[in-house]
Amino acid sequence: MAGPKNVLGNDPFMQGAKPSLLLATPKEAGALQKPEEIPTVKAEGNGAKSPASPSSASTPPDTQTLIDQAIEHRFATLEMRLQQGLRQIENKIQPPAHPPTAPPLPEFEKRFSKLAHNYEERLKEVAQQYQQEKEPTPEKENHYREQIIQILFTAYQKLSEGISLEPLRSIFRQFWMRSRSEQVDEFGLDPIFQARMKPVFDFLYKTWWRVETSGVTNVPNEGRALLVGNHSGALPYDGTMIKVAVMNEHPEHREVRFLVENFVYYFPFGGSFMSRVGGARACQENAECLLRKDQLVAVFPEGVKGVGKLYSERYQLQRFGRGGFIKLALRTGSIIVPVAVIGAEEAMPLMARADWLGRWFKLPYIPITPTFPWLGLLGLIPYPTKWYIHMGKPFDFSAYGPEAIEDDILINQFSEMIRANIQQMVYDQLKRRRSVWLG
Amino acid sequence: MTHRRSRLKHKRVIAITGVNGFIGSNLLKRLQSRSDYQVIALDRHQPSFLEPPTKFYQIDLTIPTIDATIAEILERESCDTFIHAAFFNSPSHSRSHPHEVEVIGSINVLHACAKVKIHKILVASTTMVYGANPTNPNFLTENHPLNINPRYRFVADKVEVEKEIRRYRKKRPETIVTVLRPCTILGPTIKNFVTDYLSRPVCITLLGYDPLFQAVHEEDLLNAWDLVIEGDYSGEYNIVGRGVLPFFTLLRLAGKPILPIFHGIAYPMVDALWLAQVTRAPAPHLDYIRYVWVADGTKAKEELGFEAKYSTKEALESYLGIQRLRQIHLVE
Repeated sequence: MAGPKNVLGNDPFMQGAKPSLLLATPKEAGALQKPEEIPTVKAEGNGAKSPASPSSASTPPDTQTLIDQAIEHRFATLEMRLQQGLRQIENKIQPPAHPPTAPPLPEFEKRFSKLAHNYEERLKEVAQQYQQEKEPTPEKENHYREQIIQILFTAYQKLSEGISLEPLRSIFRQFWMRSRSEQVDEFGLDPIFQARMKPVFDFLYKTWWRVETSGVTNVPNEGRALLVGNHSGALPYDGTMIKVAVMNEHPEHREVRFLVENFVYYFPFGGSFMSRVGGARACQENAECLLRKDQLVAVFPEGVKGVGKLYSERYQLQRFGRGGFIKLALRTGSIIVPVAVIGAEEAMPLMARADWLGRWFKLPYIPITPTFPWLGLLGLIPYPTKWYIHMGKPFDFSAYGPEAIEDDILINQFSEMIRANIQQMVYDQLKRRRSVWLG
Repeated sequence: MTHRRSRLKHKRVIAITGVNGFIGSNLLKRLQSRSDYQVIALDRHQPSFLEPPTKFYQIDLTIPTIDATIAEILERESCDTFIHAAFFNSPSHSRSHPHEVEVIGSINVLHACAKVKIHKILVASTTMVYGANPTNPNFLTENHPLNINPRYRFVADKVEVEKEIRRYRKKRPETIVTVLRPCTILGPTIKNFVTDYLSRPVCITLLGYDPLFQAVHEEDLLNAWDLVIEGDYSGEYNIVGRGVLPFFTLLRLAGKPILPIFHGIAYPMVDALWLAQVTRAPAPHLDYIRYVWVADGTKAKEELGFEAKYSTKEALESYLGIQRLRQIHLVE
């Protein structure tokens, strides 16, 4: 290999190459070499630790020889490239051949020595760099760390200032909002969520319980009405089934809002689920508000007593509260449609109530069914009994007017009348039923 | 001098406490720009935006004899209306100071008003006084009992103030006493613990509880204040925006990462964080992101003729829009 001096000696320029060509060279040679040169410098710089000089890793030789080697290598490559580049240019300018005479040599020499000097300077720098990189000092490492932190910091700043996180956020938003609408109604009914839950309810209605609905035309096509039903089953599925029945079978496909017992709202998921699918907490204010908007409202005046009655008391209607629903109907001038639900009692037969355990969870009781706590949450799946829903002839109390609200005896009579009516409807349906499972 | 007096007679003279707070400062700015009002500002510190016709008196409501001082000022300026807005808009870590300012301060104000037989008293409250309970109906009317958790001092103080006001109204039926109960206030300039919660990187929620949330835009609220300053309406009024949003939907519209925590763990955890002064609200506030406490604005609509221009969602979006501009330092 040639030493630094030999490079100049071996140079084709010095050996009588056509100097005329060099007028164009400085620029072109630079353009040719520069892009390739930078990566090699880097490769050498990094290579101090890894592949380029494996010997240095095993036995630390004295740095001087290493530097010499590197410089030699560098010069060799430079020389080769320079020759290549020149040859290319020579080939290009071959056709005109020899016409121009030699330009003044001193100028060429000046240029060339300048170029050579530049290269030498450069190489010295490389050598210095190489030596520094050979033994990385702690400060150097810190510097790297600082640089990385600086880069991360500026990236963060760029992200949070210049480019906002808005696109990312909107993707998240779309992801989270896929099953909910941006606007719910004032009781929390969510149309998109309801549409997503519809197949589940339809499955329960058509396949699981094979509900047969009769007398659905007794529900008015428009205007407010109170659907009063018998409550049954340890978990209140009957409200949702009445809702599905009216939605599927009624000619106007009306929406029913049902009132849900208080205790559901103490629980995670319970309350929010119920309100998304159209439930509202059972209280006078809510029912009145819904009726004033001319909606159908399903109520179960038995309340917790209804769902909490034991299997031995099945289909025995409990006390109808204090006639609150009658007052409600009188106040809002709505008609009352009695509804009998058959089959829900057997879907979740209540063997016993664990009141003491319920108090722990702020529940009225913990139901004990043939499957519930024994099979865990699986035990909460209701049995596929055959259901009937019958809607009776509507009652209209509007003739009595609002002053009847004060007449407690009258209210009680009305309440008892509705209760007896529903009880009779339940008995009629039960008489016709042959089997709990097949109907 | 006599000329000035007579001219002042035609003007309505309004005293405002808490002029450094959100409601006080905004009302002061609105009223002092109008020529038919003379405003008397009462606070501990003089605000920077006072303009000449407005007079400022330095008043500390916690001083025991301050009622006589206020009465003297009201007498001298012949005030006919008193706007009491010296209330905290976020829970404070101090135990006694908010109680002194809000409850004792209100009692002092009411004493002074009784002494000069003032024509009208307007008080700022909040719908939080109804309390968040699982037994709440979906819409709380003004007649609903104030059923709050007594551990939540921030709201308990406000309920105590309301009780004092009710007592005052019963004793002096000739005075017009109006209480405005806005729900959560959102908007471009308001800063309270809810906006603070919404500007956190992660929002703590309760697992499985997604109550309905209601907000009123600050501009709507100030318009409601204008209505009750202008006309004479005695009673409580819920000032609410149109519509409701489920709480999770609100957080998702805000693009917030949610950290749902089981409620059995969340209460003690927030209690501990509150003691460490990390959170802006104590554990009893979790009830307000657990149960529904949506108020009914029908009474304000029928009696005041107040119509909210912004829905809950629009109020939220107006806040979020400004918040985004703040993040890129376009707006302070």
